[in-house]
Amino acid sequence: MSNKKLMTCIGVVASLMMASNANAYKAVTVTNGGSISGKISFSGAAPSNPKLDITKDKETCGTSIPADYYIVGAGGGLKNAVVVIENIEQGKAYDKKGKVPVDNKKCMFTPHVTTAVKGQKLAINNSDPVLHNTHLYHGEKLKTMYNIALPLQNRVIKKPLRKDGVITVKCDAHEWMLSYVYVAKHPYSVVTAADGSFTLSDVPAGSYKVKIWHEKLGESIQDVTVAAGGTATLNHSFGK
Amino acid sequence: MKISKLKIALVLVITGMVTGISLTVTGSATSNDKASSEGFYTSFFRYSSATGNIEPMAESPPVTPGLIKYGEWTYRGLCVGCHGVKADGNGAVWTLADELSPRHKLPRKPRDFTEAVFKIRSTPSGSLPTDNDMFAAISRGLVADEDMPAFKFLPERDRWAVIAYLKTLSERWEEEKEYQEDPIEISEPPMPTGEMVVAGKAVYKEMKCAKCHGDLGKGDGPSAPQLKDDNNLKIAPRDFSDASRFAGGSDPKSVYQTFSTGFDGTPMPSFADFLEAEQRWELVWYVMSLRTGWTLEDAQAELKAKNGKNSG
Repeated sequence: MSNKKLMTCIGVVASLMMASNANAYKAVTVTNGGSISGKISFSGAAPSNPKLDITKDKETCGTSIPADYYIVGAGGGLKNAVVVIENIEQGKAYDKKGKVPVDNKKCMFTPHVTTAVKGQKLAINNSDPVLHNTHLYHGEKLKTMYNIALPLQNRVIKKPLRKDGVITVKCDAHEWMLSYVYVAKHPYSVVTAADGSFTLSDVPAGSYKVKIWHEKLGESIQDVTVAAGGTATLNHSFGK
Repeated sequence: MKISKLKIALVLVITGMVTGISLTVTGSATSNDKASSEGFYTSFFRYSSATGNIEPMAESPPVTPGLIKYGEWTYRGLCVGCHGVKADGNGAVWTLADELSPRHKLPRKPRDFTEAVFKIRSTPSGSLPTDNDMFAAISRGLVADEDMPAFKFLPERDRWAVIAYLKTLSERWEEEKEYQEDPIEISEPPMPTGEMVVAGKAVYKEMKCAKCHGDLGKGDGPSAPQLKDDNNLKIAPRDFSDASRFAGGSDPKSVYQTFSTGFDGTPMPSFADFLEAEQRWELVWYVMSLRTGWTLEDAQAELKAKNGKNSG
C-alpha cells in the first residue's frame, strides 16, 4: 500500500471514530439540573381497543382479551406514551448493567410499553406453562433482532439491546401478543403513567427537542427549554 | 462430465439474467422468452444441494476496495436477478413473477442485504453470520423453501468477493462489531443409540417443538397456520420427514446448529438458553429419526463411515 493510500485510510478511520464518539452519550455529574414534566393526553372520545382473537392455549390465555393499545384515563390522560429527549449528548449517569423486565403472562406482554438505554439488557420471562417465543424486531420495517424460544416456565433470559429506536416485541406462537421497548441512547426517556403524567429529571439546563411517541397515534416533536433548577412543562394532546 | 454440466448451468444462468433484464426493459414477454426463462430456472436448481456446511479450501483473500468492486460486479452478474439492483431482495425474478411466470414464483422473498438479517448462522440469534456461514450459504444454496441456488461452481475467490461486497450494504456490519458473538460450539456428533432417540423424544416434548412442527414432525402443529416471516409472508414449519428440505443443512451438526441459533427473520427461535449439549444431540437424533425410511442402523453406519473418513 502506498503512503498516500495509507494516510487516506488512517484519515477515514479517524473520522469514523470521531463520528462515533460524537454520537455516544457521555455520563456527567448534573448539578442544578432541571426537569421536564407534564401530561400526555388524548382529546375526544377514546378509540376503542379491538378484541383479540384467541385461537389456542385457551386454558392459559383465556378466551377473550381486549387489546391494550389505547388506555385513556380521566381527563384524557394517555397511558403508555413515551416521552424522550431527542438531542442530548451528556447528562446523568445510568446503570449500564440495568435489566429491563418483560414478562409473558396469560399470553400478553407485561409491561406493554417500556423504555431502556442502548446496551442494557432485556430480561425476558415466561410466567405461562405454554411455549412462548420472544421475537424482537427493529424499526418500521420490522426486521428480526432476536428470536428466543421460552419453552420452560419462570426462567429469565437476558439479551442485550444493541440498537436504539422502537423495538417491537412479538410472539410467533401467539400472534396477538405485542409490546414495545423504546431504546434511547441515554437515560432521558419515560413511559407515561395511567393519568398521562410523566417526569424527566436531572436534565442539564438547555434547549431540547422532545419526542412524544405512541404506538398507534404516532409521534410529535416539541421544543422545550429547561432552566437550571427549574421545571419545564410539556403537555401534548393527540387526537382531534 | 460434471464440469461441463456446470458450465452449461452457468451459461443458462447468464442467459436467464439477460432474459430477465431484457424483459424488464421491454415489459413484454414472448413465448420464447418464457421458454428460456424456464430452462434457466430448472437448470439452476438441479445443482442445488442441502447437505452440510461447505468449508472453503482457503481463507478469504484480504478485503480490499478491489475485491469489493470485483464482488459488486460478480453480484451484478449473478445475484441481481433475484436480490435486485439495490440488493434489497426486489429483483425482477421476485417482483415480476406474478406477471411473467406465477408458476415459478419463489416461495420466499430473496434476502434483503441492506437489512442484514440472516437466517442460517453458526452464531447466536441476533448476531451476524460469520464469513464462513455466508460462504456455505452461497455455496450450497438454500434450496429447502427459498430456492436460492448453489453457487459452488463459482471460483472461491468470486464467492469471497461477493461476501466482501455484501458486507458493505448494511450499517450492521460496522455498528455491531463490538457485540458480535462467536459461533456456538458444536462437538462431533456422538454415535446414535435407541436410548438417545427415546430421550430426544422427551426433549422434543419438553421444548414444545410440536407446537409448530407437530407431534410427528410433519410441520402441522397448532401454531403452523399463522406463522409469518419478516416480510409478512406465510411460512411453514419444516416437515422433518423429508431430509432433502432442511434449509440449514440435513447432517447432524447442521440440525444441532439450526435449533440452537434459530433462523433469524423467521418464526424459528433459538433454543440455546434451554438445552445442554447432551440434550441437543438427543434432540438431533430424534428429529433425524422422523425422516421417512430412517433406521438407527443406517444412521450408525453412516456416522461410522464419516468418522473413518475423517480420521483416515
